[in-house]
Amino acid sequence: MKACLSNALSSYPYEWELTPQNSPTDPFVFEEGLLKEDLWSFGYFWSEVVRQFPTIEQLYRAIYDLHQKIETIKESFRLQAESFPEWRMEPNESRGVCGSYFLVDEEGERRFVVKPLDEDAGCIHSDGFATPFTSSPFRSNIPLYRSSMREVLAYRVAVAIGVGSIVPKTELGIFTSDQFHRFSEGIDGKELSRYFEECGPEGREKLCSVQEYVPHAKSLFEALHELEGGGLSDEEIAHRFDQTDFEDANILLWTNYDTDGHMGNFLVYPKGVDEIGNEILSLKKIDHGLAFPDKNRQLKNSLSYLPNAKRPLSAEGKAKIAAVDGEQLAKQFEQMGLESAVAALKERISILQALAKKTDITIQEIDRAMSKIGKKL
Amino acid sequence: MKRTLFLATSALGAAFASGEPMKLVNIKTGFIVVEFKEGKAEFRDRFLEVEMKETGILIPPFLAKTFGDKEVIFLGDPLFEKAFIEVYYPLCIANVVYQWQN
Repeated sequence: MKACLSNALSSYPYEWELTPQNSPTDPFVFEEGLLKEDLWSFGYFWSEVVRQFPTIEQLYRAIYDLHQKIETIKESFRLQAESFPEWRMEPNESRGVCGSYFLVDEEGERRFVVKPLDEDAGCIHSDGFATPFTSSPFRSNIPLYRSSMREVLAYRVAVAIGVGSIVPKTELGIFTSDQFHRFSEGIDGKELSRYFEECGPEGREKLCSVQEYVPHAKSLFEALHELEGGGLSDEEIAHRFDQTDFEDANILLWTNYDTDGHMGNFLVYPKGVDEIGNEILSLKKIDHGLAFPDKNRQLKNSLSYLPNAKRPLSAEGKAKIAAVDGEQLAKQFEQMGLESAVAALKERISILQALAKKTDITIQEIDRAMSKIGKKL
Repeated sequence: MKRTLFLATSALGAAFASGEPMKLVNIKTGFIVVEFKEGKAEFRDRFLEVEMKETGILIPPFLAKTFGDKEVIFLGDPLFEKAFIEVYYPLCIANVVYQWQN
């Protein structure tokens, strides 16, 4: 299965160079035609699509290949996919740029957040950000068609390094739903029949990440504004967050080298109350689609700007970092088809462990140093 | 939906370019995150302000050309306002709770 997966993930020909011309034995039959009009709703990406795929023939060949690869990846992970109840699928209207749905139980309660692999921003079935490319238009060093695996891997890594409470439990699942978005929904009616003729039917069964829904939570962005709006000082704000959970969230971001750790991607929920009745808040990190880059560049950790980050890393935090086993994590990466990200993982873990040994080093100092990996001094 | 959002923020960008003061507001609490006035950004979110100075706004590769091929735009850069409106807001904030107001 692993070999099959590796082939599926590594054999995409459409990175950032022109595709080769079709040979005479190609199964495709096209009329000759250059791409002139964006009939596919590529929008922002149209000029790059035209540059990389000058003809309709080349474009449809790339999309056909993507359809095949998506199916191959799905089958490669079918045995790892968990079963879930046949609950109602509901679009997540406040999603980010990636396709996201709620799995809602019979009582109308949201139970899981479902993200289809092929609706990640830049993937072919993305609503609003579809491309025929295989590398992310949003980040360098982040290959596409691995987002569901990244989501699951983030949870598994969090558990493995002792910060499991920071990521909601996440598994793979395979779902069929009429709610799912399909590339054809953005294609001009006059082009649809040719699209289906050349690229084949679009499957409704999708490989997805499935993450437990966090009830009674709000974004860190919103929570901070309530505290700032209430006139709290830095020290008062720091007191409102559970410092252990805060540290754990930072350790996770450094380990995963998350490039999307902005305040909207942290959920805040009440964990308890202090001696005078103020809520003590804890954190969960969601959306790991831009973590685990192939190169350690562009770490994004908004937590490092909170006053809690000015505190020294605790002895417990140091112990957690010292215990991180890069080799074991690498095996988990490989199990999820992220072999290309292993070298970067090993590089940063050794740097992180060296930093954490420094006496009285603060969370912020570690973060600044981790952000500089790979940069010229 | 999100593409519409991007286009809407482009339109907002045009409004900013015309010099109209605009502010990003949490409509539940009235908290003003940032106000753009006469080409200057005034942050009320003190944490976000420091982040914008030190980390800045990461420009996605597909938008790099419209930002002078810069990978990051920091607070103080002439393109900061555009980057905040057209990149940071739609990718990191966009939420019904946060809306632009004149």
